Amino acid sequence: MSERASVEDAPFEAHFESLERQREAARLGMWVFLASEILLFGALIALYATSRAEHAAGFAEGVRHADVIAGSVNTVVLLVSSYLVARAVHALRDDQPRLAAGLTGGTVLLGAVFLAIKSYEYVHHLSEGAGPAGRGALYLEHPVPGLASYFNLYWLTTGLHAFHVLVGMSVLAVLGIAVARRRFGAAHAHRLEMGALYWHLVDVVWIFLWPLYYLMK
Amino acid sequence: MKGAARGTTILLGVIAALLLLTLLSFGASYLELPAGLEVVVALGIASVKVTLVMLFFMELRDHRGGVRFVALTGPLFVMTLVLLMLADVWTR
Repeated sequence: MSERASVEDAPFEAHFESLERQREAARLGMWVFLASEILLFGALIALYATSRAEHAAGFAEGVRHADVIAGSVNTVVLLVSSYLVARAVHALRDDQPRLAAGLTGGTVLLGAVFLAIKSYEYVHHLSEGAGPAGRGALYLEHPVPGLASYFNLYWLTTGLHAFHVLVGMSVLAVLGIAVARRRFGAAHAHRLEMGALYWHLVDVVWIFLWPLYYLMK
Repeated sequence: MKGAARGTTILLGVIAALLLLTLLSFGASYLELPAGLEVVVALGIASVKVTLVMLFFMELRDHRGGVRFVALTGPLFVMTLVLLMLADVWTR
């Protein structure tokens, strides 16, 4: 449905009193979902904290095998992508759909850059024998208690995060195309806002994963 | 349009601050700080960055009531979980 109506005349679902109420409900629902996602990653971070408390030397050794440059570049990539999608929401609210679609496309592109760098890291870890589930030559060469736990949690947590990046990219790609085709505009900018909120969560999770797995030796 | 320009400027300021904090965190990791202090610095900077993202990019500063309440429950429960689990390890 092409949306040409002004913000005030924009249609909304029948079970809401107004478009504003619909926006508020969408926002609250999205935050409840995000809170559940935070708990999912929170459980993995809690597991990291207890494992590290028990095997500090093994985790420090694990961090030494992490590619800090790749991880740091990925941190910048995700931060900038978060900025782009926040700008996209503002642009759509200001009735600039072309700019909003472009910025959303840029966000998706940076998501792809993130995954490419992450894939390069994964290949490197496998080649040095730091595979998941404690499999690989590295654990035999460095028999430090906790090294396998570090990499198990690394693969699990960053893998789950990478899956979220992929989902976020897909959601934003669909929304960006819809904006580019004028399927919705300023009045329904909250639709893009929901996708952007999910993307910011992906960023928030990585902001914590970066020091945990790359910096804290 | 004036408000829109202001919003854009604020977002630019936030991304600049986030990149600066990232650089700070990266630099601090090479300082060979004592283990405990290193954790406090790294996670402290990360917490400031997350607060900026949540307040400005996720627009929590513009919302009141339910949304803020729900947004705070996630991090609060995670902190509770981490502290209780660590308390178990530290008191064994």
